[in-house]
Amino acid sequence: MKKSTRVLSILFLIFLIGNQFDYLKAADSLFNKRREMVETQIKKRGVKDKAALKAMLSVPRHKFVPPAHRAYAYADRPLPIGHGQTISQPYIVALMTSILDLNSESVVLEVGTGSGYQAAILSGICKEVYTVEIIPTLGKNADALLKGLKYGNIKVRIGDGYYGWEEYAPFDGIMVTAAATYIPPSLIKQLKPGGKMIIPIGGVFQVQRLMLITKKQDGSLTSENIIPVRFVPLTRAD
Amino acid sequence: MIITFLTLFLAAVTFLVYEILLMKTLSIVGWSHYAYMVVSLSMLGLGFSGVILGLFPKFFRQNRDICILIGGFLFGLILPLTFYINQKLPLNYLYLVWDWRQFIYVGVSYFLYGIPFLIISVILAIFFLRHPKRTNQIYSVNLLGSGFGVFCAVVIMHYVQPEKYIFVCGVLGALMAFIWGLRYKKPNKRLILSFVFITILLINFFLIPSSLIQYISEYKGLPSLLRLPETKIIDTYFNPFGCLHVVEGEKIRIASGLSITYKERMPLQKAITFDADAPSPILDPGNINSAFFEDLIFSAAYNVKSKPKVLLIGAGGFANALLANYHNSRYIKVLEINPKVITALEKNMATSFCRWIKKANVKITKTDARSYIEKSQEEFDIIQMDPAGTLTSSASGLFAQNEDYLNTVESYKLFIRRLAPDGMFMISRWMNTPAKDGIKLFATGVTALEELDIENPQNNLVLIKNWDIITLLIKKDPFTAAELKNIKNFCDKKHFDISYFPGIEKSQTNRFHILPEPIYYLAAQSILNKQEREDFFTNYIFNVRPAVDNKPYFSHFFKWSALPYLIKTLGREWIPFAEYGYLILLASFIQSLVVGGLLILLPLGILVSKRGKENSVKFKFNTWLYFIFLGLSFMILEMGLIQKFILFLHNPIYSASIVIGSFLTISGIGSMISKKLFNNKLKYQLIPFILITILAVLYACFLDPLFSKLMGLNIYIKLLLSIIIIAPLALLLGIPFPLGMQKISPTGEVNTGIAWGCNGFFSVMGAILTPILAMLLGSQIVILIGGFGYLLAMLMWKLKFD
Repeated sequence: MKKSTRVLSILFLIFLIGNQFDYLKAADSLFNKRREMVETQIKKRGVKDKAALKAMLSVPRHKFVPPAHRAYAYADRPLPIGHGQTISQPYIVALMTSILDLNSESVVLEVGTGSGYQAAILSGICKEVYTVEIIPTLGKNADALLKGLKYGNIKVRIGDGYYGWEEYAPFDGIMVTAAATYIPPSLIKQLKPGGKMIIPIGGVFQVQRLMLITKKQDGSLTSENIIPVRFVPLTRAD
Repeated sequence: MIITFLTLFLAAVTFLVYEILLMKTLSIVGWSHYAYMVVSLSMLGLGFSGVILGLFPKFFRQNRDICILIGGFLFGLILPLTFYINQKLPLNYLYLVWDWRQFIYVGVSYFLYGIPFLIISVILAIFFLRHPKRTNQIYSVNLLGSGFGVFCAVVIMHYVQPEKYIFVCGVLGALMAFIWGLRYKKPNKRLILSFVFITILLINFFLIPSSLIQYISEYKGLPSLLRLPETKIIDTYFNPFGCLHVVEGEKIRIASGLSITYKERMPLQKAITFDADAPSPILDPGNINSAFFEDLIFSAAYNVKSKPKVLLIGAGGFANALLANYHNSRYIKVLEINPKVITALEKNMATSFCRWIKKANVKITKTDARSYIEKSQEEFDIIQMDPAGTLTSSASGLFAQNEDYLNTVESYKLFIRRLAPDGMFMISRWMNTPAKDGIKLFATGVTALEELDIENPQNNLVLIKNWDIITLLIKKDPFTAAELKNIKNFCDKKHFDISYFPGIEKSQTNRFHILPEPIYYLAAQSILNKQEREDFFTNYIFNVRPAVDNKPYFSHFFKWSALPYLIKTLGREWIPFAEYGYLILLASFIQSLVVGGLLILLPLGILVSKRGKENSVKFKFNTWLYFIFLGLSFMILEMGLIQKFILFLHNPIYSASIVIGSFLTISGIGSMISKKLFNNKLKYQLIPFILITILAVLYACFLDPLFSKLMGLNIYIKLLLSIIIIAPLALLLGIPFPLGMQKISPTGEVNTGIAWGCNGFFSVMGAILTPILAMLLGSQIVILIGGFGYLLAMLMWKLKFD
């Protein structure tokens, strides 16, 4: 090997190692960002569910955010994903996940796949995740991304979430991430007795309030409004 | 001189038509906060034009005629281009809190929308330079044209599709230049003129969008519906009220107020949107299951009254009329202000609309609810008002600055008076978190009952809520035990929470749609207790005091005491707490102050100091102040009166057109007088200022009682009376500005430019400051402030010339 070729090869090797180092550094910095996100945005606000925290730490949120907004992927805010939809604020994703009380045996339905991020979070916690998206472009993109990231327990369907996914019902938990003007009866039907359904309410880019619907063993329902933001309460004590 | 006046007149028409139509176009593609942006830009354009003239006096002196010609054609050419480029900008106001690039886009957008205003403003200012001895006539024609422009804009909105608005404005600008060009007598020049004119028309024609749909914000209601598969627009209607779209698709499912216990399929429906937002369902009377009606929160009142006579405020998608019919109402009256809503329903309800309304004994009256209730003596068993019925834009918070005379104490009193014995007034609002609307609703209901001298109002109220809607039931008489039992049974069965009824216990609240604390119950208790009420209003984070006619801003919840919290959580938690409308107003004010200061005041200051050094005619500080007070006070009076006349005319479109149109037109006539006055003694010159102040005081004190006496009159008589009431003030308001201009125009172009710029800049401030002041102090005080502004202007006039 000529001297010059040898020098070139060494330089190329250094370049490759450097590149790899950069890559690792980038991956490390993103992991740090995620860790910071979990520590400062989620844990500090009271989300204690270990499974949810672990999932939030492991899922690369930046991959679900459009390139134009990727710099803000780990910021404490919702971000646009196109088609008038958003990827929720990290805290809301964690809160919604933790509220459903899911475990490794749970089968969960998500209505409104959007970017696929919420499904990816659920994937790390549950046995099976079924997600339905009515907007074909969003559904196809999310499906491809989730498959690319090797989330094997997620099934994506493009269709009308109003009817749920009867084939895999009943579900331990249902998460409606699409805008709802009422609660579809078919979803309530597909919820197991004792199961929980969570629906965020409020416009895009708002910190939403969450409605938690619990189906009791007798089939009756209660809904609970969860306000995820601190707010000065009434002064009256009684 | 005819061509001069005609061109000037057209320039003024074009300016106003562009301003109003741009506002309308942008409120369709975006939201109504654009209106303030457009007003600011138009005024900044006027102000900056003065600076440009002051900076390049020689150029404009030498080229003024050609500038008018080129300016007009340029306006016609640049208008569609600026609109087109603007719509391509990746601007989204919702991203402003985190994406710094949005500030650049905002700047570019403002610049682009502002250019056409600047061009016309320069043309208008050139006319003042061109005829220094005819200032009053120039000002007069300018105002007459502006007034006529307002009427033109209303007519255009009646007959022209919103997609064509920009085209119409472009044509007007080019026409203005064409008429100006007729001064050239040579055939070849006229040929070139005609060629340019036709070319601009063609460019405008080809550049106009075939539809505005592609430009509408993706976060608005209409694009959200259209994203659903197999959903399409089947009908579009437009008039000055706004633009209605009827959308068809199997996957449209809108059902506000529906119980979570509802188990049936959703009835097939179409949707109707207002200004591309606020979708409301259009149901087919022949295709709705009974469970759907039974499970709506609005059925609460019908569970108490059998075979009622019903009054519905707003037709919406006619769902409330169908509900009333389902509950065997013996007579249903629907009040709908927008005739196009009825046309849309006639065409799009699947079952023959006319046949159905005849069968169901429905009577539709195309009128505003407040004016109807003021003059009618008819009594009803149920009066219903809810957000789905009144088809207006829905983005809560954004409309904090919008006058809402239906949701005031005075309005509720009128509705309660029109209840038959044992009748019920049912008002609903969207539920929001933290609680705002529902609490203010309850407070307004309690105050209305108290002002009607009803003893123990706590016995006449029931407050119930679903997860999305909160409903207040008000009776003139106390609720009976049987009625309360019916309501409680209904709520229990359908899982609606009762937040208040006479004698309620805390344990009976917050059962189905559980809040962290029973906030509505606690608020109701505090409001009903007169000792606690004031403390509650003071301590609550939002402004939940009842809205009144003097401050008719039901959706204005912002309180300054909450500002530290908003700033602390900016970009994260602030949006649900923030009151967009008020903050947008404040932001517009600050932004205009900064931009206007940089573009107008700074160059003007430099010009003044330069003039001082050159030792030419000195521009005294009190001369500045004179034009500053005029700019501020004119706009404050004009906008303050628009708000007052909305109550009288009950129609923002009529009100704004009549008030602005009359103001400008009659002021134009008034400015003619200024010439004679100018040649008179000082003491005579001061008369208009004093009269304006006296009239402002009279208007502030006596307009409300006068309106309440005249309220029941026919709308056409009311329109005529409005012009008569406005005329004396408008006539006088036309005098001071040309009076000042006549005085300073012999001192040169620079001073004329400075005066024009100063007046323009402070008009911007006045336009934005007025709603801020109105929300804080009420419209009466605003009118008084406007009046006293003229008194201060008079002092400046006296100081300068005495």
